Amino acid sequence: MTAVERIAAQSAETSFSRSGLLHFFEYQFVRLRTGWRGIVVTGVFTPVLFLLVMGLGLGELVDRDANELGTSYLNYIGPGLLATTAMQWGSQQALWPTMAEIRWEGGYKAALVTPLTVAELAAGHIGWISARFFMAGVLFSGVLAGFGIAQSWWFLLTPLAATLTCAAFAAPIAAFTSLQGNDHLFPLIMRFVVIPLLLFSGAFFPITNLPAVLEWIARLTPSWHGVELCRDLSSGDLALGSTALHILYPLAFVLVGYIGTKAGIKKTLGT
Amino acid sequence: MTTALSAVDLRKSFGDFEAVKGISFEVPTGQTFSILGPNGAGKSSTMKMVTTVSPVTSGSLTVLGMDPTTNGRAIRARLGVVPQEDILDSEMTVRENLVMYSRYFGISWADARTKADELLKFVQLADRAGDKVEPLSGGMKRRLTIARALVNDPSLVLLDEPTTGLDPQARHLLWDRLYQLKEQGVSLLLTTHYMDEAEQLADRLIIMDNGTISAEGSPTQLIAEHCSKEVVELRFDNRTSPELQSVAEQSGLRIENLPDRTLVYADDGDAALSHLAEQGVHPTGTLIRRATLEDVFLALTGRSLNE
Amino acid sequence: MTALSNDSSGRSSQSTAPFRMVERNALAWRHNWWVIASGAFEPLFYLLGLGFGMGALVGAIDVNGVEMPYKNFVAPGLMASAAMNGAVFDTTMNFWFKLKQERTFDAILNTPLTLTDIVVGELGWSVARGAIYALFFLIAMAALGLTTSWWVLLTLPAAILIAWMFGSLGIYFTTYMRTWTDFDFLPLILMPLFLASTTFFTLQTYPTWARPIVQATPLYQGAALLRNLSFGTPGWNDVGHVVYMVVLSALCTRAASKRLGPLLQS
Repeated sequence: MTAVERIAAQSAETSFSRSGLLHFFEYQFVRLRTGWRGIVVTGVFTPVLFLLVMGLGLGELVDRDANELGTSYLNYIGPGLLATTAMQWGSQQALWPTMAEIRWEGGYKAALVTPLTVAELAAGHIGWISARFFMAGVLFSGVLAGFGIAQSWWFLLTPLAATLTCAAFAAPIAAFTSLQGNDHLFPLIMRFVVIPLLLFSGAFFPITNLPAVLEWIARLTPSWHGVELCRDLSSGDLALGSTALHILYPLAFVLVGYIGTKAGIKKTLGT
Repeated sequence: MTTALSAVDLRKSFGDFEAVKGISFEVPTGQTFSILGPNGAGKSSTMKMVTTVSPVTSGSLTVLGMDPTTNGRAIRARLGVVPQEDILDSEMTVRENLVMYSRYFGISWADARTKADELLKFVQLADRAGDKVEPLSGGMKRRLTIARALVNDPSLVLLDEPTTGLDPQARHLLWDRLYQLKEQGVSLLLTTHYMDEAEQLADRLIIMDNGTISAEGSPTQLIAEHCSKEVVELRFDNRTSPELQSVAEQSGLRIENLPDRTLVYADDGDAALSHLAEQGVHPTGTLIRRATLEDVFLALTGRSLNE
Repeated sequence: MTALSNDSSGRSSQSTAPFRMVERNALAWRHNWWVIASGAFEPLFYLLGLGFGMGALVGAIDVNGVEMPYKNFVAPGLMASAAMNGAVFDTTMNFWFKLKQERTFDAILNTPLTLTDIVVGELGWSVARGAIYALFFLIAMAALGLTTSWWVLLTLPAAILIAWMFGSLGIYFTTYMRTWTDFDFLPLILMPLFLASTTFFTLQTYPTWARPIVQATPLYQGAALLRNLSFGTPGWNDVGHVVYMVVLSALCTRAASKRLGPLLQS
């Protein structure tokens, strides 16, 4: 047995190559397991912790004087956290676990021997990542509501909106992963894409506080659109034009990512 | 003759379980000494005490003239250890494995590199020097482990089941390297549950069973003492032959019933076979062969080694 | 390290032997050095995001009666977590890999190196990694104009102490791990530590009942010390922080070595 198989045998959920292991801790903060434990941690533990420390604790400092946000800091970051959590889930799941399915464990090679098509496989993979996030998202929104963050009936749609953000990251990153021979670049994706986007997508502070160049880059990220969409749904402050943009723009990422994933799996698994 | 290793009433316990129950033996310098026995006989526990990794429970052990409890570091500096599992460093290449291992012995980088190249040639892995360890075959990994055990020019090399899991070709290549080491005057201590391995390599051996020594001597000596010259293997359609038992008793032949065959011990196999036929024993298959250590073990313990 | 230097077989640590472990890790990471290097950037993103982005939102913060820009406040706390993360990477999952999965340590114990050498060497490597992250962060702080006192130079040795504390905690924690999945608990410990360690706001923001709990956590101790040094306001309570960290580090190092003995030498 290779090291990969040995580890896979021990941990049915995820598999790591030797080099994957070297990088294992590089993404621990955003490592979200695929099982129920991961869903509960993501859906309950994460929001409770962040809302207490950042929403309430840091919020006390922000709300000290009339803030520029137009609402309490708790109300401000709640939906933002939901969207950035979705981004982290989608990105992480599209890296190591996807690599495991396509290469390390060979599950998808086996699946393609059945009547399943590459298109179905690609859609199913992205869909499954998103569906599991949706479950976490429902819990997450429940916690937000518990903190009194929901201000409109539109809030009920926030898990769906966040799931769109999740897919907007899962799909293009899965396309990238499907073309990689190993996971050497994965920590760099987490470190230089996901972490900066977590901080600079407007979840914690308005992107207008950023230098103009960075602000415009932020506007081009699906995560910013996700944050905005969740926030608008939460406050009920929806405008047709901007809401449509916040939906269609990430959707384009999902579509392009899906096509890329399809092509990538086809190329890698040779069907 | 000097001794590389001596054990007197050596014991090892793990809680209530006594794995080694007071064994005494000596390994003369320059000889190949083998500890033979089935799984769970206490071989590996003995080996781990000799490597100084596992503390001695009681009794005395002297390795290269030193006491493992106080001189572990100094002893290990002169030992070469081939553990049962290769445990190579998968984060490094084949050559780096040897270079780094040399560093653990305090050998300079330059010497370590020279030594690594020399040893890779010795174990026929020079062409894989830059490769990662993982893709190597079982036999190659084993050879690399042996090379690794030699980086410090050890006075005593310990090999724990060195050929377990290898195909015949890989085993013979390995044995050949071990012969060469022996010729260079290195003392070898090897455990095995393969009788042919012990017969091939060992000058002297002990047979261990259930934590104790059941016999000691050279392979030929042990066969002469505990066995006949030849062994006749008989197979029957219905597994056993009812008449064989009584016939053997009458003719004073020792027999051993195994699940799939019956062994008859005789100094002259042909004569025994025709004698049995005269007495009405008609096996469906017969094989006459030289007695081996396997038979010695069977005779001593009533069990086959690899069951 | 005297507490460690004699194990049951009386093998004492030779002065340079632990350094072999550092060499081993350097050799193993040689082809992936940029993974370690890139880790130094993560705390910087946090500094830029929180210090500058959040800072605009928060404005000034009152620290023991002194008003200071928010970015100056968060920087030392983030430096403490940089030291923590650097040390934890190699003493948890990566350590477990060598301990249980690949059993690298078993092979090394057949050489003149002792268990003590391995523990000291592995800790040294992890502390070095944490210290490098902290140093890199400190340089960035200086470049961004967030250093105001010469006392800030002492944050580096303090960060080394933080790295030792979390490195030894990491190894101790890891000796209890049975499988990969057990490590799922680690982020559940580190994340609250990071968030609750007064990196983002002062202790006074917490409700009174929660303050002693926060104060008892190791990262709080480290962050508080780094803040006082960074602001140029060291005091007697900093001696307390140092003692806390030295004692916890020594206890964990000792306990970890004790637990590793039976795991490796049976």
